Amino acid sequence: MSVRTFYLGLIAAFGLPWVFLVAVPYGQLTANDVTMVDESIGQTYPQVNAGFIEYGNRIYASEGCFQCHSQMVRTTEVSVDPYRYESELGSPVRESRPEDYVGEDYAFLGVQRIGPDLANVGITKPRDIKQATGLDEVDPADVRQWHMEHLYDPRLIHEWSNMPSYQHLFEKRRIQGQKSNSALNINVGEGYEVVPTERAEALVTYLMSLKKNDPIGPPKADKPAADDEA
Amino acid sequence: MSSPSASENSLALLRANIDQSVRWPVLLFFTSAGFWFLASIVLGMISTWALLSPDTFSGCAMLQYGRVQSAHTTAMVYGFGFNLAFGMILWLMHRLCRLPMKAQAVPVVAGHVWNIAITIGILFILGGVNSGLEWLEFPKQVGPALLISYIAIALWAFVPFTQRDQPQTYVSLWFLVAALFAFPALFLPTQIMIHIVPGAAVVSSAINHWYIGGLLFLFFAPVAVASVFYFVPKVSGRPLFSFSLAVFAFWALIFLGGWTGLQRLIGGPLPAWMTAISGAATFLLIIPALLIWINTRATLADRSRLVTYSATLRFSYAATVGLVIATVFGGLTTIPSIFALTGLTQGALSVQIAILLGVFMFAGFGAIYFIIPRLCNCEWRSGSAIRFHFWFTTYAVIMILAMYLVGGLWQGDATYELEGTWKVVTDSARPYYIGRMLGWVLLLIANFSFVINLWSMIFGKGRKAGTATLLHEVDEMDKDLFVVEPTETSKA
Repeated sequence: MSVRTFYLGLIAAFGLPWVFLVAVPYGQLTANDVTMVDESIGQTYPQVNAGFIEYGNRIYASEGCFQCHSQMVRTTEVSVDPYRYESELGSPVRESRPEDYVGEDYAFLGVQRIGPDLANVGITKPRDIKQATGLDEVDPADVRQWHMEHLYDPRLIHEWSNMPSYQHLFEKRRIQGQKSNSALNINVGEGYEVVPTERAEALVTYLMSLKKNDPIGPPKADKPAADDEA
Repeated sequence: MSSPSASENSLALLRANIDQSVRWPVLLFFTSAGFWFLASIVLGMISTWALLSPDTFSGCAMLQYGRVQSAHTTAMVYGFGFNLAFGMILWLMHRLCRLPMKAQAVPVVAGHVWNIAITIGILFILGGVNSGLEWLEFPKQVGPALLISYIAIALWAFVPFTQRDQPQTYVSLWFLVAALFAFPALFLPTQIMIHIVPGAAVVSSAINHWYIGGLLFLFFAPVAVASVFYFVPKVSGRPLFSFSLAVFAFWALIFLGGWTGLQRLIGGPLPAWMTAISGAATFLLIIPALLIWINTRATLADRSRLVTYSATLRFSYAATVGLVIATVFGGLTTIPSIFALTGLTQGALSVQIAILLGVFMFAGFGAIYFIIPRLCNCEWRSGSAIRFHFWFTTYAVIMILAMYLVGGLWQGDATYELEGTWKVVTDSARPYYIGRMLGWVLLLIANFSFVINLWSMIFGKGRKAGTATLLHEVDEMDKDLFVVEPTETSKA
């Protein structure tokens, strides 16, 4: 084998996968990465996250949440993902699509599921709380409170949980006058309260925003045959 | 025309000159790898313990699972893996090209920059700055420092390849040069297409997985195979069994390796052909792995009992067995019925661990046991210490791998039986975290003693006798094995 053949072989071996697994999807999927607006109701699809939610997304990355939680409902080509049984979301829940991640820097598809999938936790958590309390409606403030307490000490909610305690996202402080509105409903000693920092607020806002179940248009294969012929 | 003995003498002198010229850079990289290996094991122990007893570190943000697991993989890949690879590549390239290194200060300075950049990256990860990209968790600003220092080191390894005057190119050189080009070919597009001109979010995720697959099979695996194909013929005193088989295995590995990585996203929000082709490539990697093992085994042939005496041969041969196991793991976890269980579990990570620890680490230790005595002018003090290192390391790696794969199967199975609570998954994975913890402890014990041995060699405390340290006393029946006739490779 000559050195010239060797270099040409290397270029082909490194270049072909780059073209097909990186460059082509980069061009195609990025071209589809557009936001559509339904002007009749002023609604964008998919919903684009911004501001505080984006900040929460960065906290999610910084704390390494992606190491334990996935954010994708898989298709049925291999098996039925357990998260397709979330009946409150429609039956079955649709699989995650590239459009679901529009506006995010990076899709946190997950390393492994040490904890549950969070793709639709913005819908499933209010549902769980509704089922647990028997109420018809759930106040978003209650959902926020649940997330805050869960982040502060997961064992308060599930004694078997192995999720870390994110106490560093909270501040324990002496109550000055009246107890803070944002204080957690937990007992941390007489005269003291625990309040979330801005990072905890952002992370919970991000978690409450997670919904990867927006309506999507029909697949291209469903277009009328006449369109294709034209 | 010089006599054969004069030629042998001049070759021995040349080898000694080469060893002397690469001494400081190679020692820097090997000792750095030793430090980072211990650090990554300790971080791995902390992260595993955090899963078993999450309240142990409550109140200490930097020791929470998410952060410490990211720091653990960064230390393992860039601290241990790359430093060890740099040392191996620099020594092998100069030996194979028969050229001493010039301006050693350049790789030494670049090595310091690399290690400082990794340290900064890990401190930022532990401090709560994490990019969220697997194996690229450090802040993106660390990337350019890594790339520049890598290019400097790689250039110093590549220059002798362009200046060599041998008529033939030994097969290890193909693997080494491919690996040298692989990192920038993977890292640069990843940095540009994720951080500088990002595309759709799922494409960034796909690129991330492509990068991990490429690093495993285009960088770490080729360096390991280059080392095995160099040391097995050299130590056994037999020529490589088949050059053609080695070249075929090389092209199969290099042409398939770049397509891997995305199989972990089967069923994810990507076009199905991308994950399918990645799965097929991962499965097919069993072929080059088998060929590499067969070639190594056939090279040893009737000298295979040398594996029981030589540390280098034992670790190198174990690396080829590890390569077969790792690719079988990779192939198995792409079979749909198995992927249905191992996907998104610790089982999916078993391939990474198998390549890094089961293949690359073993090949690296084999190389160190050969190279260090030549750089330090003394021999390893005790065969029993090497035996202890080998067996504890082997048992530890087997245990860690088994826990990842079997634990992944149970963890995955439990996700189909949730019945409204995640408790079943947590409970099903817990025994395997305990097993993994034991594996890390074994690995730490084995390698703590190894690092002490390494430093004692560097301080000249090794055995001064001229013959290599064997793992056992030579049996009477094996005495013939130690009569070595020089081969083309062993002259390099």
